Amino acid sequence: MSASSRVPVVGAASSRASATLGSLSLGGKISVLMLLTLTLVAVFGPALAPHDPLERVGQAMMPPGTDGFLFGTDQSGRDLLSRTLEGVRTTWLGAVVVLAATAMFGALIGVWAGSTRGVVDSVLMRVTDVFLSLPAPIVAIAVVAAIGSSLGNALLAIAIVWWPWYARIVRNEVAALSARPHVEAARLAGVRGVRLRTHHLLPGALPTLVVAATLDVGALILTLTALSFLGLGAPDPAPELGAMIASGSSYVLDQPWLVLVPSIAITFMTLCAGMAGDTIGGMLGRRQ
Amino acid sequence: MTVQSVDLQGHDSRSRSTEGVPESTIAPAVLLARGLEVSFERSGRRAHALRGVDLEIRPGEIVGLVGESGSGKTVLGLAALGLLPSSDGVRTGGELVVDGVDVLHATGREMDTLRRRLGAVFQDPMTSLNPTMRIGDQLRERTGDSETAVDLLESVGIPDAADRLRHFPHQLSGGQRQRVMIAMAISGSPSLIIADEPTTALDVTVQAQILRLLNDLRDRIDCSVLFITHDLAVASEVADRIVVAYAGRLVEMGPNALTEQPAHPYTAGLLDSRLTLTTPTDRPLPTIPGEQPDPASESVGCSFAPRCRSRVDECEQEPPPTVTATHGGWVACVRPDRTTSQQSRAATWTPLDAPSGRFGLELVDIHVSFTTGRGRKKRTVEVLRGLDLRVAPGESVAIVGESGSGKSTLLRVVAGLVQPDRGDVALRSGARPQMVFQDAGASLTPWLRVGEQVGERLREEGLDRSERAAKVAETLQLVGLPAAVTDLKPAQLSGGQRQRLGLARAIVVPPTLLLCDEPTSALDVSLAAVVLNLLGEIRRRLGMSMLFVTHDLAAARIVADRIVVVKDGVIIEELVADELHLTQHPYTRTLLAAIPGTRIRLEPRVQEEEL
Repeated sequence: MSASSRVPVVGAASSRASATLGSLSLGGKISVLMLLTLTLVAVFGPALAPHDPLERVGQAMMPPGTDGFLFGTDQSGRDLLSRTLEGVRTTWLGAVVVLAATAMFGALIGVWAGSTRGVVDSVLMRVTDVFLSLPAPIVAIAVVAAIGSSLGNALLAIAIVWWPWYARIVRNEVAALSARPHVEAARLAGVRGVRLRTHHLLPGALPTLVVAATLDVGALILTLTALSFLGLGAPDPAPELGAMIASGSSYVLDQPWLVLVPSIAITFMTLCAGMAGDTIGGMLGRRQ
Repeated sequence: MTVQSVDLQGHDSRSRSTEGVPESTIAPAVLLARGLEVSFERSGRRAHALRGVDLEIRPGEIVGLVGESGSGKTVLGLAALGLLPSSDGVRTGGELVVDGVDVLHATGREMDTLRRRLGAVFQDPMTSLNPTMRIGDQLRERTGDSETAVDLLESVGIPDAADRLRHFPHQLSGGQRQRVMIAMAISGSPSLIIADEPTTALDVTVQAQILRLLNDLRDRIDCSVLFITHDLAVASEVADRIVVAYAGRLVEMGPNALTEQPAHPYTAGLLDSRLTLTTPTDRPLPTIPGEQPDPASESVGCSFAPRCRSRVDECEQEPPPTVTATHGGWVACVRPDRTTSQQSRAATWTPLDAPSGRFGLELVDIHVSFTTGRGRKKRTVEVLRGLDLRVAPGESVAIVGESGSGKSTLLRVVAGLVQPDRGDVALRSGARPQMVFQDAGASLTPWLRVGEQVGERLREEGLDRSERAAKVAETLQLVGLPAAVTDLKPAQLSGGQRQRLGLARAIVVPPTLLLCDEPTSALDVSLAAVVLNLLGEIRRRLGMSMLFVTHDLAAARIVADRIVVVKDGVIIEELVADELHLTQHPYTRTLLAAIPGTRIRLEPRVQEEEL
């Protein structure tokens, strides 16, 4: 029944967005709210922080709540709240940057391979397989050993092992799309080259790519904090969640908040990313 | 040779006892709908699929439910089976009793037992059969033992039934799969079989066999059949009684013979737009103007009024009354006496100049084969086996054949989408053919706006943005699309609009050769006529050659100057379109005989065994 499944003319984009929000489940609404909070923290983190995260502002290892330090202080007397906010900010932004960069690079390679096929496809996919087989921590150690430890280098190391997934996903989607009648029709209409790829192939692979990427945010955050825990991120005074857990772990029995506060922040971020990924996936799935 | 014929008179005499508005005292109805309403939630609006349907099916009766897409016919079938989707915000009203069970209020368990007493046959048996199970295992799930399963297969006319039990669905032909579906449908000795477009996906010759089988079965196992179809002629081949649905309401009910004296203007319009072998080819086909109403709209009067050529003022003011029609059934129309042929006196086409010049297209000894599998499982199928064809400039040639004949492959060779193994394809210099696809929806890029898709071919013409927009607007107008669709995406258009859009894209830069791959076979009868008219008009205006692939000889006769019949990858006959009825070739005659509604005696049964 083609007539009944016809979509009525869609109005202004804003009314469409609000309609989409309204149709979300309770879990979906909560995840959107959490995502909003997280983004606000990421953007306004430094402004929200009551103290300088790098300076000694009170006695060392004060429990949460003492002297107005909401989360207490760490072993060097720095404000744990300010450090956590800053840590969430760098981790979240780092994850988003790596994700965007790897998804874009992966899409580029994937569209190229999937639409060209033949030898180009084989070569690109074998190269992808090589990168896919590299373990993230070892690549990170190699990169850091070569060019020094910093947050940027850790992100670079992760990006090197992260993009092949997206290249594979996009390549398979594009290869499947290439056989569809609308691509044949476009070819007959004389569309080829870049325009065929950007207008008739890539948009069809985007929903799958976006769902895969959003579901990956959690894993990316965990990898990032793991590298920082191992000391492969920015060196000590920098407020990184992984490094904070590492340095607080010696005091975990007597001053558990040193480990708990950054751990809870990481849990919150991955939970948030996972729920948002499910929501976005559901929304895209419904639209198809 | 024994000659079988579809005994139309038999149905008429049978239906006489039940025609008219039946009294419910004769025998309990197998299906009884009273004021049945079904609506769905669609994009935040309520779409009404059924708007108060009264229907009664008596034991042993075949009722043909005829309607185009959007008429609600499929929803009625699903409702009777208790298979309405539970998501989609379904709301029901009224009453629907099937074999004594109140379907709208029954529990899951009651429905399960009811469904065991019902049979269902759908359009695509491949989606209903389990592809991973042997036919025998699937049948035994219902019958319990192999002997009954073999008996069932034999009763639906499958030869070597015992051997077939070991086969998987994909090893059977389309017609045989549909026979297996029917065998499953009758396995529980059902009181009612619901058959939703069971023959639509089949070739005409196979369709004729399946229709005959349904008739035989009704006589043998004495069940009722709700036969849902978009084609009045198909319904009149099998049904005792025909009901016509339009926009969620039944507009006419009558005996099988209502196809000869339709009382509702819509029924008359449907019959007019149906192609037969006597449809005049010198003028545009009669069509029903306009489109079906939006399922979310509410109207006071007759839903068909906006499209009706016999409309009077009362039509839009109140719901049409149900009155007795001349054929003995009833019709929902204010002034059924005004119903005449809906055919407007269309002017004749201006005659085309005789094709001249060298050639538009020349194919010489084309061979194409496809290879599947690897190693020992490698199979090579020869699709085209030495095919020659010449199309003059401005000439229209129809390629007619059944599925598997290679007709679509031929078109794809000309389009350059398939490389022939051997042979030459010569096109008039500089000409790149354009193609109109069977599934217009699938041939459009879903995320690109209409204007952008149509304008794509203008890019290489070196036009700037505003020139392109002007040319797109002009082309949309030419194919009868409103300018407002430019900013829409394909999913926001109706099926007919999408087919027009596919055509617009093909002709925005007029090609010297237009390839058409069954552009009307997926369309409703009334819409198919519109598209064929459009092709005729465009061809006359732009003066291009046309290669039109179809399985429908009646459509081929309308669009083409010359008809080429293809079977098993070779041309078996070439005819001037106007002399189609003079063919002496037995295969072409079989195809002609199988067209529903032609009332020609069917070919001997021997033929069907080998198909």
